[in-house]
Amino acid sequence: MALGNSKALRPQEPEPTINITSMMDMFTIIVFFLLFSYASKPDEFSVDKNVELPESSSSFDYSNSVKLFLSDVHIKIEEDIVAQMKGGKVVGLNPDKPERSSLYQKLKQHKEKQTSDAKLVAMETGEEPKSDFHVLFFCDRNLTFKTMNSIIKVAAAAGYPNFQLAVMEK
Amino acid sequence: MAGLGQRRRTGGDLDCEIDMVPIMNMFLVLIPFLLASSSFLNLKAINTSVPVMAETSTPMEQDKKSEVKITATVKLKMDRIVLEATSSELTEKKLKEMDAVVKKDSQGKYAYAQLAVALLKVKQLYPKSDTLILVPSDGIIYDSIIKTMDVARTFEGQKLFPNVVISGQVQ
Repeated sequence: MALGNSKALRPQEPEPTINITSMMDMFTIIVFFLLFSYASKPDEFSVDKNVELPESSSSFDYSNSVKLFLSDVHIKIEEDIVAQMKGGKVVGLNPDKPERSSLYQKLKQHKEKQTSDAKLVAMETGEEPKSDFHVLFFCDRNLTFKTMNSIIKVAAAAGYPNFQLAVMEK
Repeated sequence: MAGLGQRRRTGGDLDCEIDMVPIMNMFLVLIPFLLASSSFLNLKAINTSVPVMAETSTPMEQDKKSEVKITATVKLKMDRIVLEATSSELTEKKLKEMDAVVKKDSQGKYAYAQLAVALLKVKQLYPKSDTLILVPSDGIIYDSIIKTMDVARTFEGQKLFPNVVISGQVQ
């Protein structure tokens, strides 16, 4: 009988509490850090797995424009695959007649859309329409200039002589 | 009197604790969301262009008096880098003096520091110069082009040629 009452007779221990103040501090710091890194990001896009960007000392921020992803597998404009690559060459691209390629046509579409949008904005604001459009170029660091140059030429022919080369900050 | 004192004492001893569990819960939801959506890649850009046809204007008397501008041409070849200077305002002899050839080092890497020194020399002679034409060979990889552009733009904090134009070789 005495054994049965032993638990009840034992002095009552205080309920254990976890001190979560330090954990709260840590979480607050993490949340603020993540919030700031989230806010400083101007645009949302995913870089293709096949594209490894080179490192550079450049400190210019990129501006939002037509994004062209060039890897040794395919060429993507924004989210659409416009051409396949084979042996460093664009499949279906005739250098003498670039206007027949899907790459050229897609870039031309973007250019026309940007121009018409700029005209609408200009009409609303009463300013000169913007004309300095460019392509934001995501190119794999191991691709040769020959491959790159063929795409640069097509982009220039489609009305994009200015480029921004996307790089990773050192 | 005794009652008042007792009341004050009990009021002061009140241990007030804020329930932080709901805040913790909120943080636990926020952190995975922010981790998933935040990007830790610090993306930057280099502005460049391809050469475009432009109308040449007749230099005015005032322009002639202004400081000479030269255009540096860097030919990125498989085994070396060739620097050449072009300008309509200087003689062929003067331009030749600025030419340089930078060979790859013993490890087969481009000697970018040597190129930077050669470009710095040109910049010091003609500080108004700001344009460099980069002419890579077909087999040059993009990484080497970017490294050359970095060297051409700045060297040890000094601005060299901020306008880099990429051009293919004329066949």
